[in-house]
Amino acid sequence: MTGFLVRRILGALVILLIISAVTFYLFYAIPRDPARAFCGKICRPETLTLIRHNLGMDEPLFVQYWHWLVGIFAGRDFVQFGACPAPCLGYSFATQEPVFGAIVDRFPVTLSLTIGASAVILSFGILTGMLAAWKVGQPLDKIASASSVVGASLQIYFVGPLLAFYLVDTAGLLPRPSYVAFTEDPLGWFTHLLLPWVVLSIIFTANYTRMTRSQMVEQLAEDYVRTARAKGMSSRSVFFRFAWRGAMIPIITIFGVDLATLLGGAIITEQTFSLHGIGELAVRAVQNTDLPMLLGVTIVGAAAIVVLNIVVDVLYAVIDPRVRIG
Amino acid sequence: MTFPSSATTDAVADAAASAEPAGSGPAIVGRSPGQLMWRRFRRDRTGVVSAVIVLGFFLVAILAPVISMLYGKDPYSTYGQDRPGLLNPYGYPIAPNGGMSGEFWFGLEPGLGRDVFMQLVYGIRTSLSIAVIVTVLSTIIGVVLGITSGYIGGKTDYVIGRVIDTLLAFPSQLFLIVFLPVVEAAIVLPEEETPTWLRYVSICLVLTVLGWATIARLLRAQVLSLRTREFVEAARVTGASPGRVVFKELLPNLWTPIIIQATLALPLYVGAEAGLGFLGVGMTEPTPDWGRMFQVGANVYHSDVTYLIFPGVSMLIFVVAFNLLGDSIRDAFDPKTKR
Amino acid sequence: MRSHSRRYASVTAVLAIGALALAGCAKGGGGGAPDTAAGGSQKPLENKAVSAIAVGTADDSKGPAPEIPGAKSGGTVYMIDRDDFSHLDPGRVYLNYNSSVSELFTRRLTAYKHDDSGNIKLVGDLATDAGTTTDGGKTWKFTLKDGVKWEDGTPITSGDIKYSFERLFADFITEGPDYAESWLVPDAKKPFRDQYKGPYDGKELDTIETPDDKTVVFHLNGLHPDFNFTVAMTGYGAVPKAHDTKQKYDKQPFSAGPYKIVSHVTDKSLDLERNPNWDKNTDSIRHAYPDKFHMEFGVQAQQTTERFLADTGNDKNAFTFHNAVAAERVQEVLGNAEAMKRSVQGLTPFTTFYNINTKRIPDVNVRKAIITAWPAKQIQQIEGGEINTGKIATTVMSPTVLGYEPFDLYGKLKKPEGDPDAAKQLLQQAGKVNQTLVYAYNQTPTQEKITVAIKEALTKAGFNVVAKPLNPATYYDAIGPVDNKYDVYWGGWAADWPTGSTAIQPQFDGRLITDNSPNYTHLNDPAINDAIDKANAITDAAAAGKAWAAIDRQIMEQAAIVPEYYQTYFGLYGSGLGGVKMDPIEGEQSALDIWVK
Repeated sequence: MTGFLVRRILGALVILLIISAVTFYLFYAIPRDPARAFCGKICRPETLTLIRHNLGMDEPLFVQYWHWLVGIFAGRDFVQFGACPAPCLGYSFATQEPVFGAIVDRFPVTLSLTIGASAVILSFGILTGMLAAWKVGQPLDKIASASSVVGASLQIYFVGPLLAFYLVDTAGLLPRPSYVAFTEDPLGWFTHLLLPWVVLSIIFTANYTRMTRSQMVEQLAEDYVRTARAKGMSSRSVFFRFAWRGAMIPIITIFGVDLATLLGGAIITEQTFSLHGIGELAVRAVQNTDLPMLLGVTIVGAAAIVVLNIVVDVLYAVIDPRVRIG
Repeated sequence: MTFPSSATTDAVADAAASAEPAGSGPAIVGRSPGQLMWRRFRRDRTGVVSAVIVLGFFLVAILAPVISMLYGKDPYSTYGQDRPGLLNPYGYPIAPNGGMSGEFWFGLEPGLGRDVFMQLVYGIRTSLSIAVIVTVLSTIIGVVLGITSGYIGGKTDYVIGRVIDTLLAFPSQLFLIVFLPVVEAAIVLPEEETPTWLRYVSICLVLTVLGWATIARLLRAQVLSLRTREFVEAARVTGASPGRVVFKELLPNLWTPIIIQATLALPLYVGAEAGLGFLGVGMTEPTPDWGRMFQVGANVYHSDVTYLIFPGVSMLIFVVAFNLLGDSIRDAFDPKTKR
Repeated sequence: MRSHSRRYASVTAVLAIGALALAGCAKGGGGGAPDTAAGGSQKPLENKAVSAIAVGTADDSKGPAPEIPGAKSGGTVYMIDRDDFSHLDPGRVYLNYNSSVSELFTRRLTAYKHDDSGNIKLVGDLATDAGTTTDGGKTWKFTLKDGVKWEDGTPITSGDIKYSFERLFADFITEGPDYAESWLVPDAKKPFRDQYKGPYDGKELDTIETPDDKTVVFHLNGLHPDFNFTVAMTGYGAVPKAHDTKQKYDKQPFSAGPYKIVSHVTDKSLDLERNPNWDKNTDSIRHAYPDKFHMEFGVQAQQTTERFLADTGNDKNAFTFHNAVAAERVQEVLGNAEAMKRSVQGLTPFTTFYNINTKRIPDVNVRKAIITAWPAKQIQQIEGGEINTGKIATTVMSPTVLGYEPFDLYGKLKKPEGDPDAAKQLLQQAGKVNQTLVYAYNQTPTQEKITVAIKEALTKAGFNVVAKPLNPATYYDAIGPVDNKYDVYWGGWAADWPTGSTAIQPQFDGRLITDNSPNYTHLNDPAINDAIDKANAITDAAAAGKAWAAIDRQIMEQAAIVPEYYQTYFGLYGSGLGGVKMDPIEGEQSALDIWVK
């Protein structure tokens, strides 16, 4: 187990290194002078030169990349901003705020969004999928199948504004989506994020309903289920005690991979509802060609995905004792 | 923007893996597997209806100029601005339902006052063509690299495998929006005009680069299982060249997963392309674009929700139809698969 | 069973889609802004122009500020806004948003005093009056008031003022204004940092004299009769030598004003409480009624609008410096009489316009044709109407600048949608029909739409328009070079202090043309350059104002820019507050007169 973890973590670090280097080098291909953002309205050429020096932009690219890497572990000292303690991802070219601080600041928003949506996806998707499998061929199954076909075809940027218009603008059933800290007002956190959760999870929920249903149907045809039935176990307890365990294993694996997609969906959802999360930060960084912010967000995003994948692998072993990690 | 997620591909992988090689399918004398598939498909009414709808969308895309001629409007004229009485001082259509009328069937675009119907028709043309190109390109690249990786094995397999792993670990949505400006900046100097075709090409390029990995991974697994099968071994023992083995022995057995994968991917690319438009990095004005209509719609929905309905519902119809069609094709290819 | 269930699925899918479509149509048009559509029954907002700007006397500068009837002390005022203040170190403050909050703890030599009728006076803040010059603006003398103190109780001395100017030469202070720096070194033409490197290595700047603890004398290298306006910028606020923490000062400046910073959590909150060492008798502009300020960041315009409309809890006692009413809610707010009572609106000092590159379009008739054909109204409509943008402009100077005179040389107010026929005639006169025009624009969704309208209007007038999209991040890099390849490109400007010298000179003095200089039109007209010099030498503010207005007219006769808007501000605040006003100098809400009801 330890050996497995070490190997996975080392592999993850290599992937992160590659991603950061690629992003860093690609972005310097853009002919843009971030120094202007630090220069007053009437910007003198000599002030620009000074700022470029302050930002370390007069050094060769690989040296700049090296400084960036070292800064993560050892911190840096900028003439323009003063000390930047580790983990230092630099300062935004656009807003001049520390990148790490900005990401930490917005992290709860994206985390809340993803956790809430995951909860909806897993609970609702798996539940309806199991119900559909339980009542195979009956009206409930058909309704579930039908809605999952439509649900899987919906787009966040269409459903989002549409639901916002009807539920928020017109009916006033829900407050306009925004982020309320869970620690300050749990109920407000829930009501303000409910709509984004639903919108973000619609496509995924539909897919998980379909998957769970087919997995369950498959499991019910397995030998061990037949054995259990033959031994006189009620179909209810076979269904809820054994079959779902077998069905969950592939679902969890797929969910681990889907988390990356979910994070991507979070970008669109945040944009749709103007939520101040990491996705919105990323879109703004792209619009501003804000390299430090972009690098920071990309690395943190990729790191999240890599870590989640490792967690899923471990979880996999816990659910299915047949899997031996080693 | 739902980028092709592995979830669906894994489902296909299961389906495809359980599919017997076409050669050993139910043997009815005198019919090729293709003919069998076609017969099964024709019996599937949902599939046929979906196919007609999907075909309709492609026809609209192809015949956009003809539609424009018959309808008497074009997607570029700013009717609302040129003619007083159509838009109010805030730029919204004065007539109810987003300015829908006998003249402007789907209403007017807030702000510029262009014809929504024409925007949609030409937008479908742009978006569908991108999706088709990307599907074809990423399938070809995925097939070539997947087969190469699986068939040759060894170091080649290792390298391609790692590239696939890295690509799948990328937060792909983020990279789509990050890379588009980079691709363009790398090609165009800042003082040169960015031609429309360049944005078109770079969207195709970026979607393809981030999209081929899923199908490649799937085909690699297929080839790995196929190449130890007796008929491949036999061909190799009898001295068939690698090219012959790949094209005559392996490829015929891979058509099913390839086609299924491609039908699954296309609606996802339509969504992905539209997602780019929504985030403001898709096709630029004045080229009509399905996705950019969502961006406009998301901005104006408080005052003019009708505008959002047309691109939204049409895309929903298209994707539902295409997904149902995909299901039917899968069933037709492999009647034994359970869903 | 399988296909059965799927057929069912497809039928339901069709039904669901149909329902969605119906829902959209049924309600859709209702929101299509029909109330306001019916021929402008809505009363247009009045943009109250600043009626007068003048230099105040020593009496005007004496504290305390005149009491506001009904106002009372105490309570906590809340502030909600989108962003944290990017800079609080006075030397690094240029943005109006940073300036607005700095008023509460940063004091300068001079400042602006507003009265209820919209009059603005330049008065002494730390100084006893707005400064004196005896030689037409080359030497300036300021005397500090008695009893002005830092937050630790030590007196503010002339040495502190001198030090505050010296530290602006340090290498990390690059974001603020640098007018004074370049006027205080021996040679105005050479880079100022080459001539003095700041006080951190122990060297002093000998062009600032401090004959005693109360007197500061500035010796400038040229005539600057409005230097007393220059030092009213937050960028020239006082910083104590004993508490200068260099880069860290930016997060936690040392207070000289009525409030001091208790805590500042980047991007989250800023808490201010009373500074007991501030004496209201030394201050003629700050009332400082509330005991505390709590400022919260990260609240988007949609959310502030929502919260102000709901007006509950602490939001009742909340205002916002910068967040305007969200564009999509403007119509709703205008129709809400209760909310309108709690609204602030007015002109900001910002103007926007389209530069015409006079180097590439040397024929003045062609430039006039561009202005004449310009689709001002269409552009305004695309951006959501006057309330979201501003009044259509016809001059260079904004009505907030001292001496502003309204005139409309090209009939843009009569025909805001453009006059293609008249433009075509002008082109024919110039013999330039089918003249190619390269229009460069920021590639944003809104700008792309505007471009469509511009292209259409100019094409109708006989131009051959080439539209070139530019990456927003590199926009200014692209239009910066003097030999850029574009003919028309958007720009915006706000005067740093409300006189023509910063409204006009940086943009239209032909001798200042270099790469990246604000003279984006590259206009180099000897008559205008000459007039600028003459106006700069006029010491009487009102007479100077007249001279600048005349130059404004000259520039418009040369058709160097297509004026776009005098930008307006329209914001809300909570019902529990009184004294929330528009600050026409910063163009947003002011905290100085606020009190809790």
